[in-house]
Amino acid sequence: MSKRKLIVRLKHLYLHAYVWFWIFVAIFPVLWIISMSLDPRNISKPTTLTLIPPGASLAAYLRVLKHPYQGANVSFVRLLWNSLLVAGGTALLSVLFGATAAYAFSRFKFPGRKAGMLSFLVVFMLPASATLAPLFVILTFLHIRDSLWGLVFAYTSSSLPFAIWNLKGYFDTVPKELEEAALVDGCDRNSAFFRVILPLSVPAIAVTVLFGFMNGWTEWMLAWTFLTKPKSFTLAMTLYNMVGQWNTPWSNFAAFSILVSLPIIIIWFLLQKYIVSGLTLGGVKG
Amino acid sequence: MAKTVANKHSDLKSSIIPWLLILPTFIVVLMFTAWPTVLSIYQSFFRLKLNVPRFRVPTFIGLQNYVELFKSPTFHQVLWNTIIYVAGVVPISVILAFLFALLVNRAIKGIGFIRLGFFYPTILPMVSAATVWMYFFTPNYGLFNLFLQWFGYHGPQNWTGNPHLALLAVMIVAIWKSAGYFMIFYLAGLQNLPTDVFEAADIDGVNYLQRLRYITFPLLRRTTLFVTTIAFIDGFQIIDHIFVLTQGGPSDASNVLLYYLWEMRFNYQDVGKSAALTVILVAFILIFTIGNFALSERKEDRRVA
Repeated sequence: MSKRKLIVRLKHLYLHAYVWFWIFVAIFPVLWIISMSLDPRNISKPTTLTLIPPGASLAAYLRVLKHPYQGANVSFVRLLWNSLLVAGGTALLSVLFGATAAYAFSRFKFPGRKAGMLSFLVVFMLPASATLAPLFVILTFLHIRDSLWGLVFAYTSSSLPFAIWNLKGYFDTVPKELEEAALVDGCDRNSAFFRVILPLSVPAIAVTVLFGFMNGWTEWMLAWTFLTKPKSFTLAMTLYNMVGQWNTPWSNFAAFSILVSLPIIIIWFLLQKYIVSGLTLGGVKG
Repeated sequence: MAKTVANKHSDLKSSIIPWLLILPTFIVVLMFTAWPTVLSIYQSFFRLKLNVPRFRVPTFIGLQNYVELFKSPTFHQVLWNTIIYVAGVVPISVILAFLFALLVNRAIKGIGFIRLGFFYPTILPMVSAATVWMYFFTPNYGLFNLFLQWFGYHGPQNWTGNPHLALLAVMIVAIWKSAGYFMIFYLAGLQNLPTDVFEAADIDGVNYLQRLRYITFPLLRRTTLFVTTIAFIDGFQIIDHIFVLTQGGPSDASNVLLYYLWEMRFNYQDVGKSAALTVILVAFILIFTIGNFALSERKEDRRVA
């Protein structure tokens, strides 16, 4: 073997080691969660990692499906429904409001356009959790603090700036000529938007849906602070409820964590081909 | 024909349609982002403590809340912790995200699963991530300590209970949780890069590192602007893991601005001070995002010129 070949081999070896190191660091905790969720012993202080635990079973999944929440009588179906409502509502409103506003910023010239765009992106990019103290007062005043709707609006408000930023960038890449052709062919502005722009912007819309849904699905702090009635609790709150001060029933916890992340994994695989192409991060200018 | 289109366009210029399209967003943002911010500014000038009977009626006290905060050693520590936290978490997670994106930006079999593996920490609710790490951090049998020992670490093991390590522990969890999220944006950026530039570079014999430094990174400037903005805002606002891991302790060693605000409002029931803290937090976020944009736009101008 020549010297050059050896160097190439070593380079490859190094690259492989490097790749596998990062994959290990990033993915190891995930493997651990999967392993724990299958462990039939539901131990509170596991000391070893056996990737496939002895007597692996789905018992923990069944336990948490039957009795998810400690100290409150609320069924898994109820929790699931609440989380779906919050996450789905946030995703839907983000797309609906975000797409219409982004269309205005992308296609119309009107006084204050640039300033409006900038203020949406820069000034209002405030997360709901930063203003949770005044939000508590305002949502109470509006009589929606202890309801899932309050959360939906709070989450939507903080995910809209990103949605507009990304959707506007994407709309900008759809050639104006296509729309003009549709207008010439007798479409009105409205149907040109729904029949030309929207179908061509599916990737950007998919991204908006995914992030809106993830935001509503995984958020915990606002939900935990605002909601008091067990019938409106969410899945993320249930996870926190399971964490014990001294002992956490690990198998139950791990199983529940996986169950909670399943819907997003499914959405990820469904939308995967759009996600990467749907992030355009268009400029503020133009 | 072309004339009709032009006419349609000029009609639209003066129309109210764009305003109507923006209206729903405007209302939502006004009610749930702008109003809370203004309310905080207003409330921060009042003394209002819900757990002290004689302070239950708001009294105007001017800047007293801010003065008291800036005099308190706890607040100093919290500010300092916040700065260390953000200054550590943002650059490290963004750099890791970039590296991960380079790793997974290839078309090999099963790449979807590997990408999902990196992205999974983002999908997992922060409460789950933090709880898993709480277990990894456990003294004596925690896997994080075992892992470090392979590399010759023999320091203290009680990560969440040690005042010198607690902040680092919550930072590690935040980095692990967010790197995969930012990776997606860099991956998108990498895949949208024009390929002809790289072909030209190959012909010119540019090596891999030079290519990263002089071509890839400059072309991803917009992505970097976006990712750093999001990373910075998240650094201030994501504190779920602090609830799970340390509750800001021991003795405020891992307490950051938003956690302190939460305690002030919901444990000590001090509405006035928590409003002042909200104003400070919002100011921090705004100064950074506006600065980041301004800096980036200026660079853009210079490049175009």
